[in-house]
Amino acid sequence: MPAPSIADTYISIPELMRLARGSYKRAIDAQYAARGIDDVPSPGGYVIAYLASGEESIPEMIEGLGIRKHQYNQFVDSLVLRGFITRDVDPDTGRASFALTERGRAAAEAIVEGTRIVDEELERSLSPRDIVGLRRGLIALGEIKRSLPEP
Amino acid sequence: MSDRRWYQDVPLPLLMREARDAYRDAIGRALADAGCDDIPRNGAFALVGLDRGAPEPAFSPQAHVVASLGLSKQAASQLIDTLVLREYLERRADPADRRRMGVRLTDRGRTAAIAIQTAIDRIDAAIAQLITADELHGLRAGLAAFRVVRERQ
Repeated sequence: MPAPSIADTYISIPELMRLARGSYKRAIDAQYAARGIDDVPSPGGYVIAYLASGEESIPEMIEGLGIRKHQYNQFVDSLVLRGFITRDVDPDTGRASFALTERGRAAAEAIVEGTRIVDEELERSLSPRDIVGLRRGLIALGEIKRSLPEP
Repeated sequence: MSDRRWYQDVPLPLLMREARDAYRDAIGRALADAGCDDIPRNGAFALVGLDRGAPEPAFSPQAHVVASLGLSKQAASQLIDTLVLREYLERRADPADRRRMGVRLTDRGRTAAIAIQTAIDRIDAAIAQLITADELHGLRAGLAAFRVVRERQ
């Protein structure tokens, strides 16, 4: 009889999440290294990914990342200082806008590639039904998180 | 106004991050309410797995507790040290073999462990209202698969 998988053994969902932690990070770090990048601040990669996907709304980014405004500003400062993004301030409105530099685009490629590798491995490991369940479950947890009052 | 839901087209890494925060925030709030707001990172996982029997919870071998955390031996030992220092755990030499150490929850540790478990149960109950049993199985299978993928890298 085959050994029960970890999914069928009783391990709480947060424990499973802890064990799952780092899967994307490890794959993306390998892609960064292949491109000579080793100084993306955590979770600056998410900001780069947002910008690469055309997301420009800072409040949306902050909400999506689950961080505070001052933390967001720190990541952005680091990304600017390290040459991943540029910051331009509109002299009329005072609003800042951001754009990826060439280095930022290389980091974005690394993120896309690392994510693709993990996603494809998951698709090979799971049935289509389980993939749907995984997404639905994560979405439900995200909705629960958003329904909770701020810590 | 757009009726687009926030999660549409969201990549899995971001969904994972959001989802993890559901438990983290609920546990953090429960611990703060219980007066236990100085639990180190990963400490909740160490505490919640220990015997909560009152008034004298059983000792568990420290080696088992450390191994179950999946951290480096040094990081896990530091975590246990911090939990002992902050009075969540009591440590003593095993009377049957003085080379081995055992740990158990203190009163403060039990309070924290109960708060953690209650928060987890609350989120588990909420998720069970939102997804089917099949989807819940998919969630668990998917999370387990992530670990396998990570270990292959």
